[in-house]
Amino acid sequence: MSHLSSPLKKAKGLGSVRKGAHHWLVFRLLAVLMIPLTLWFVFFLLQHVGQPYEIWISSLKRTHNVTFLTLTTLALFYHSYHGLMEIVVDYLKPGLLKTAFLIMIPFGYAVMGLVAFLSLLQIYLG
Amino acid sequence: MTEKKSSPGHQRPLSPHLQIYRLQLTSVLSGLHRITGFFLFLCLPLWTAFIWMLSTSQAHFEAIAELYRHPVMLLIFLGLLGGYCYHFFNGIRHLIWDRARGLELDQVYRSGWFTIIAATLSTALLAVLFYIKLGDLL
Repeated sequence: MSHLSSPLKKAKGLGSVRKGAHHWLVFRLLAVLMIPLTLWFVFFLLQHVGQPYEIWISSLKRTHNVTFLTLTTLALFYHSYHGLMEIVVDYLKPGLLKTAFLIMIPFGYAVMGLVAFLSLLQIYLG
Repeated sequence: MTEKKSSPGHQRPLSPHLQIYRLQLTSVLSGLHRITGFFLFLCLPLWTAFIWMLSTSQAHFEAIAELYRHPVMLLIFLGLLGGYCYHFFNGIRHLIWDRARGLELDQVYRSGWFTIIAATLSTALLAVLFYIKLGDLL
């Protein structure tokens, strides 16, 4: 499939003016990073599911756990946000509903992401 | 906003026309990636609510832990686990395609079947492991 990975000169002058590939690339690099991050997260959940309150709290007071958990949470939010926006952009007809979703989703993700982040911080510092 | 006026024959059918398009492994897996991705967003409110309750008090923690042990919730979690495993392996497939590799038809079918098998096995394995971990709580 060499014709699909065409030389740079083929693309020159055809791409976006500024940062057309930037979001595309960030989304994919983050997806690669999410392979180890989410695997770690599943492992963390396996270790903690069914455990009592004290175990959860003492685990979340460990710096390396909070670091990975915060990274995973934020990566998950970013990835999910872009995925959901893509679905809305692709499948909803232009109109009030689509516009409402395109406004509410970023807002909802920002609020929920902040709650998740601050809760983790609260447990870690508290 | 421009579709009515700018396209000469605006009655043309949409392409690809899903109703007459025969389902293939490639199209099913592609659709499944979006569907699992969509439903996986449920992880965010579930996880956020959990750590929020965990950060407030032990009573709140016990309450949400009990709620998450409800049979309906366990079924949802099983679905999310399956969705994650599929999205994980198929996502890697997409990342390989983004490097313009593995795009020959036979390769696409091979990686497709690999994804199905890997996702099924890992879902089953993790489900059993989680079940064992929850043990007598259920």
